[in-house]
Amino acid sequence: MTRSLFIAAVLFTSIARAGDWPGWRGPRGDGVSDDRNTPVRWSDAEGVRWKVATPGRGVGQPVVWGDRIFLTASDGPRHDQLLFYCLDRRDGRELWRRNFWGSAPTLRHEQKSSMATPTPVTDGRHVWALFGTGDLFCCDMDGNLVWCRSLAQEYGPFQNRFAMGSSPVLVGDLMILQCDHWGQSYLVGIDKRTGRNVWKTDRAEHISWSSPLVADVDGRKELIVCATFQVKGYDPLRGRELWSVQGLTRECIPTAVAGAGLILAVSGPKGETLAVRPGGRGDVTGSHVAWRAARNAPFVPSGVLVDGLYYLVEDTGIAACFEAATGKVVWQDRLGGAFTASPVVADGKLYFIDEAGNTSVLKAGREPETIARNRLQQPVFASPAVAHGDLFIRTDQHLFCIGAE
Amino acid sequence: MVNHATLGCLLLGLAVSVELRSDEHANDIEELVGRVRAVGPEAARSAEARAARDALARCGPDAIAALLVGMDTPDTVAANWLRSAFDEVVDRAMKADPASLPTAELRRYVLDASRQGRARRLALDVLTKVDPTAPANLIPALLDDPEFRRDAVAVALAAGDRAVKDQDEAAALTAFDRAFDAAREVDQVRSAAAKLKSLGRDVSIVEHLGFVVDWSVIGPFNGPEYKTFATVFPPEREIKLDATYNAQAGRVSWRSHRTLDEFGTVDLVKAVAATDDAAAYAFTVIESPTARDVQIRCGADDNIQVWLNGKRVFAKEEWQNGTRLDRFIAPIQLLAGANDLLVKVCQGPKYRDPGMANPWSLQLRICDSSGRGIRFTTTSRDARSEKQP
Repeated sequence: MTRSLFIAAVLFTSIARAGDWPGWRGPRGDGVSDDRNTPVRWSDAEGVRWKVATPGRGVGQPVVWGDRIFLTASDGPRHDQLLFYCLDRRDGRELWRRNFWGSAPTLRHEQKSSMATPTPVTDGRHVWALFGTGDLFCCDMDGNLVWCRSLAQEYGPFQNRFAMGSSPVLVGDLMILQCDHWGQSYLVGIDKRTGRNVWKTDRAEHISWSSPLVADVDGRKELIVCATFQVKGYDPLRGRELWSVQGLTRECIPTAVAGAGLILAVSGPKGETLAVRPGGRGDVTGSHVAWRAARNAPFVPSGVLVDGLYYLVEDTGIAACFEAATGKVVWQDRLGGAFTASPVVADGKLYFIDEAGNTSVLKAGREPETIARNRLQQPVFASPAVAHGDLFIRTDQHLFCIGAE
Repeated sequence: MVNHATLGCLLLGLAVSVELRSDEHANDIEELVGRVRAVGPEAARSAEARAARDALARCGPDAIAALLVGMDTPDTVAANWLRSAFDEVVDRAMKADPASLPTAELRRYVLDASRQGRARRLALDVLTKVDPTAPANLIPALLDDPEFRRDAVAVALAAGDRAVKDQDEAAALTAFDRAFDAAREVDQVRSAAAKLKSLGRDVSIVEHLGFVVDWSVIGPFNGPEYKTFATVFPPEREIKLDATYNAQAGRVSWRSHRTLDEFGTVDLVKAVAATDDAAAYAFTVIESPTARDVQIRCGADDNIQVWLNGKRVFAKEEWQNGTRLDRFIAPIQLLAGANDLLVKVCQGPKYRDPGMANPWSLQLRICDSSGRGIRFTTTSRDARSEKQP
């Protein structure tokens, strides 16, 4: 008998406030904002509340809490100069900036990554930033350093030719990191207040860039971890592996989404989308895969799920919409361009931003209805954020705050 | 109880003009630095480190020397705590009185190659705020410096370019020679070599960086997905250059292969076979005039193991990570005379995307600790098998 499970992505923190974007993929880690009246049309000259030049290189999402925006970047000949800084959401003015050194810089993709690929995360009292150099920082909201660690010193440098990209996720007082690389991969659950390990679980999987997702399964939290060749469920409080499903390809980058009673995991290139029923134990490849889709799998951008529809965009610019419950393809549409940024959803609108800075705004639904196409004439590799009704687009040179009309 | 240093730093935080120099004060600053440096793994003593950091951050410029010494540590966590205090001290001094910064100490620190490079670079950044001519005065002489080599090579290349523009060929050759001799990174080596060539001087990148370009190769040996790294094939048991073995597609034997790539990369797809799920071996004999402690620097697609005189000196199982200069570095001891060098490179499974090629390659050089190639020759242990392909 197939049990019907309630499953949903979990808020980063119980005190997350309406309008904030507290970490990678927003308040529930699924790329969806509850904001209303978000922007539709803009250009370099129109609809821009403000824009500020950004230092160094960083492709993490902007993180927004109240009037503060947190960003990271790396710089210098070896990209071992780490920048952790805060802007005023109202006008983009810099409130503070901290300069740190990176323990073990790795190679990186010239455009799509830097040592500041992971997105910071905040609970409104502190903000945490992980860098591809293996360094982890906790600052208070005013930028005062509370604790820092070098995972590279403690467990060895990340071995990664395109720079580590996994973002931290909060579960209560735990911060969980997925550190999959060519060395010894591991998950680690850290007391966010003190920086101490609560648990650490070594993994046999090698390199991936995906970030963990916290899902609520019948009132219980499960940590969903996508990686090379498989997606796994873990007990987030103890780090114990609960279940696994084979079927992803190598070098998984997108983060899973949860909804419609399923975990939707995807990996490319030319991989499959897997819809997995959570709650299993052991290898549940044969029993818990609800559906598979052989096409439309992106290599880099994560998908979004809203109102039972699952939207993806391939790196080559083909968007697709699936029925999340069945895997049935609802529509496909060529947006054009190349994509690295993950789409976001707000106010019934899908925002797909290509690498040239063009945003296709589509109406979420069973028809591929394009509402607007907007251009910012600057390369975009970072995923956008939606907060307090505004859209924050990080180009390779600036942070734009796009205001609602 | 508030100790002297904390009190002193508090006072200095309130009025930076107050002079509290004393041996005791200096000792207390060092004690605070020591407390920060004791922070340890897993953020263990962060509260103590933060308290000491906060006290240091309130100090005046007289704390800069101790902070620089404190930041001279491979412990990045401790260095970052101290840096956060250092930045605050410097920022405050810059606003209040830039002349209060200890420029002589900063200069000495920049030029002290025994210090951590990142802290030296930070010291140069601060020095430059006070004396914008500092980089131009200091960098050109640092061609052999572990931290500033790249910067100095860039200066030499720029000097050569200016000389070319001024039609001073002799000066240009001198500058480009200096740049090439010091260069260790691909772009700078290639640039310096090209600029010299444009002036009629041919240089060998292979010799400069010490690439091994003459090999005997054999393969492909068959292995299922990701199993070849641990599988022992015949060349790991014996080096017989006239032997033949069963392999992936029939019998294979050793063949000579010289790579003509300017950075010594051996394309194993061409030298061995276009294949998947396989291993190949490359062998050569390094003739060294003396016994020497040197380095092997290597990279491979997909992974690499190296044996020197029958002893495995490097192994890294890492798939799909590409060949690139100095990806791996391992210390080795060359014997005087002949040294057998055997390399195994594995090839991973076919990509799921049929449109993607499956590259397979090797790059290996022998150099000193600065990255400069050493002089050596290669010979075959069994000349009978050395036939040009």
